[in-house]
Amino acid sequence: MTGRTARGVLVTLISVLWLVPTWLVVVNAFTPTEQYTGSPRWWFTSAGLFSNIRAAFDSADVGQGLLNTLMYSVIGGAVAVVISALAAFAVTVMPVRRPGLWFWFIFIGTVLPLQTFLSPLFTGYATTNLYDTQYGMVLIYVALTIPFAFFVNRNFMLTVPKEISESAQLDGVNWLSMFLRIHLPLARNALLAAFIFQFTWIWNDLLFGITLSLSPNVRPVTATLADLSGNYGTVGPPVVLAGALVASLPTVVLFFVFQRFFVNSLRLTA
Amino acid sequence: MSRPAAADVVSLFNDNPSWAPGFQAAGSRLRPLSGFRLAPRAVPNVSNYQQIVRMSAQTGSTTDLIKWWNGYRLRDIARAGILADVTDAWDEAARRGWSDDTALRSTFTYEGKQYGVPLYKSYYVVFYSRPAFKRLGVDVPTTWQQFLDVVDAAHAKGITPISSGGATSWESLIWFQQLVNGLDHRFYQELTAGRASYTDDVCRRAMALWSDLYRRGAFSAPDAQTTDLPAQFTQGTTAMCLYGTWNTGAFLDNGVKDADLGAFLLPPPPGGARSVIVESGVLAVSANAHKLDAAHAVARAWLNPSVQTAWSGFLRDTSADPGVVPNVGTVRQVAAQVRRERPTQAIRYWEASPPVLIEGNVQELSAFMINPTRAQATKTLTNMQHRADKEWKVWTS
Amino acid sequence: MDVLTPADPAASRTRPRRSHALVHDPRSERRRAAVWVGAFLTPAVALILLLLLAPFLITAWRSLFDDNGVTARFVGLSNYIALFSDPDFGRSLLNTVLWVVGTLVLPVLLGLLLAVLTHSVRWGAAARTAVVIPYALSGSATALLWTFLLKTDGAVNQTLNAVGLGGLQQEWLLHWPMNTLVMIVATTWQATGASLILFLIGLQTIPSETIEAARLDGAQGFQLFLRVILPQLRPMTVVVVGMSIVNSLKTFDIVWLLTQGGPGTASETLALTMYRQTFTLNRYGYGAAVSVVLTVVVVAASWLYLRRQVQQRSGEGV
Repeated sequence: MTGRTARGVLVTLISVLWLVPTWLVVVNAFTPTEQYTGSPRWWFTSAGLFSNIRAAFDSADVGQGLLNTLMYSVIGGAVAVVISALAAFAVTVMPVRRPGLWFWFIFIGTVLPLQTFLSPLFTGYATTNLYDTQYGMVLIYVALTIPFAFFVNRNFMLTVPKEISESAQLDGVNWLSMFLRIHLPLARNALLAAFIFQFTWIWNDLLFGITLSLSPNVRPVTATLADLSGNYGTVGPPVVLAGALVASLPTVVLFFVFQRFFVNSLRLTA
Repeated sequence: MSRPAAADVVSLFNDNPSWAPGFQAAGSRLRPLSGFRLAPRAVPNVSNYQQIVRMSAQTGSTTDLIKWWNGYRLRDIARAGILADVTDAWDEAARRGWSDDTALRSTFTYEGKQYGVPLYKSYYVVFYSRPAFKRLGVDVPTTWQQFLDVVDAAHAKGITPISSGGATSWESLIWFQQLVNGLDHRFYQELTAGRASYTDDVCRRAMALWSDLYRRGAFSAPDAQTTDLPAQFTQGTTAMCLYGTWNTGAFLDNGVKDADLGAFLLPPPPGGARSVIVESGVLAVSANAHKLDAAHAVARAWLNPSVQTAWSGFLRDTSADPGVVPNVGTVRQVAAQVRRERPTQAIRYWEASPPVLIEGNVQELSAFMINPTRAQATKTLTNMQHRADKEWKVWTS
Repeated sequence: MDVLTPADPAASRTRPRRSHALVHDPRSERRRAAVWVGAFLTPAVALILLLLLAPFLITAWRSLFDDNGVTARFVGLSNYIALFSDPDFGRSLLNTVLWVVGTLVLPVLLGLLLAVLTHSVRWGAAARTAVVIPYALSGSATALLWTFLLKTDGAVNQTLNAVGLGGLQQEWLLHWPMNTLVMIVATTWQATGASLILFLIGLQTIPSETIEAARLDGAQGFQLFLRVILPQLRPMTVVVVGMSIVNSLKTFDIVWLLTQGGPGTASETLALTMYRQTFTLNRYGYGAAVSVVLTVVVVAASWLYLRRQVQQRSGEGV
């Protein structure tokens, strides 16, 4: 049993270590700006969180930003996952002549450094009138999140035994039904994980939000928060932290919920 | 950016979203004078802002007015032809007695013509915490020696004498420019025009002064942030900070009471004369503006005292019109000292030489702040001069 | 997950053939299959081609010019020559390698370790949540947090002072290579959650029969882990390691926000050099050259790792 207790202790130690920085973020977001001297606090001394949050929402369009980001993350993540699942299915199950080539073509999308195509993208968006539109934002987010989702889905689908698809083919099922009825449900967890990763990625993206949008009804929340801590930031770190905490809450909740679902499905199979 | 706007509005692009209310206030005064209001659009990230301005200049979808930096940074884009000539606005301001500042005007000039009007005119002053000074029992220093005495007194009492950041930002140029310009204003101008060397005697003396101050324990750690300063000033744990008056508003908004804050011009180091560093933003008219005439009208009316009062009142900073001073104790203190002492004015180092040269040199200065020894100073100056040799050739080609 | 037992190959051969009487035209079959494949692949391929690859190719084209954002002049390969003879480039490359090694070893190993450990511990879910939360925080919140942990009068130094270890205090972010090492720790803090989740999914694909069979054979604890679990996790390991390589080569956000590549340019990675040249110095052509070089490096590294994995089809395992 010492093996188990040793493991338990190790896990506890690691979790506590991991929680320390998160704890600091929360505590210092509670500090009112007037009392913040730059020395971080370890314990709550006052309940300045709500005034800090209010300051964050007042100085920047954080509310509208949250709505925009929600739309981009949900729609962008979902569309990307579906498209990448289709492509992953094609590359692993369907009779593609050069699966390696297609894998690399799509995988390249995740390799390119993001700053590389900011400038041509901006010019392209400006000439096609996609600049500062919600469609434009969703479009680029989908394109950016397809490659990684594709990678995850493809590798997961590789673990599905060939016999399943072979017997389905022999039964005369067409590709679309096979995809929808067999592979999609099997890959449910991978799809969900891919969605959550890409949801988080889109939620936290700053670069494209800043470059490709300008109006309050298009800008994502990270861009609006950047207003607070920019070069001319007139609010102190506690307000920025409070804003960042509020903006991070949905992704944290999502991860927490996902965890629960995961643990349940593990119990079903153990 | 190129969507149709209301008839009496000119669009303005800038990199500071928090200025929006100020532009609205200025716009309401501009309306009766020029017939147009301002519709500001902002991108909070400075380098993204610059990218967008350059990229949109290529696609022709730009706003009517652009905020930029003066000096060589203005020349950098003016010579690409994306800005309109606003010399008439300056002539008008001189004629009406609003602003007759030839030193300032020269920093807005490229090939004899001006390409923007001054958005503000900030001075680099020493902000100080009145509670801290009271605790130390000292007055505002008027000579270099008195300044050193204040530093020593603060250090003895465990108060951080001077907060000075810049390990990872542009702020590392603040003390460099102050000391070089303070020692010899003429030399500073020659140096930044590429006619003097960074390895000359004045620079060496400035770096020696700087590292001596570090040896005295005058400075905070080089990664200090000015956003931490308000509480430090109020509690009196930090005494001074050399910074631009444009940050007064931020200090006041973050908890420093106007009564607890003050500012003075740093006395010149031994051998130097009274001189102050000036920073001035640019309001430029885009050459491809949709409403070119309207933008010109706004530029001409910009320096009108009623507009400046509204704008500077919001900014809580000094204006290019010396007669307009906002009702903030600290700013009034600075304006009064400038009026009294008439120091020579130098442009901020950031805009004083070609941008690529400055960016690289500022990084050298940041590296010096992390290791402020005499040996490092020599290395820093040598590197800066190497870069100057290279970049001046590129600029003039 | 419902796992079918592998079909007996002999049985499938003797299964009666359907559609015995119909004549199949192989060419139209293939054409129909090709249409299906096209339909499935097109959305992904089109989006990536238009929005990602095309801009990249334009940037690569730009690397042949001396461009300051407003005027451009063709200079051929001189940007590349200047790049390779720049001493800062060597330092950039070194830092990038440090980042690859650091963020490959730590988050991947820790993620794997934690996925397996928390599997068998009662409050595993809580532990996992603690590790995963940082991944959900935005980059700017993380940078702000680590700044005031690591700055000279920040939490770490103050704590060291308070517990009597004042001698260990230092300016964590201001000197190289300490700042790079510390930033790798910060990145590990954030990235372990991602690999943890992926490994968790991978653990799910392992059929319980395999584990039971191995246990019956006498495999325990670490042996079980090494001989049975690890090989079964290959597909997911490939994803995690592959992505770690790619992401570590592109490291930008945290270095930019914490040290700006300082002191001077000592802690710059290739992505930072590219950004600084392009966006701070407005030397678009030179920055484009750096980004082309960086892309080549990343593609080469990921090809080296992944080339063996790519040819497999479904069911063959990876």
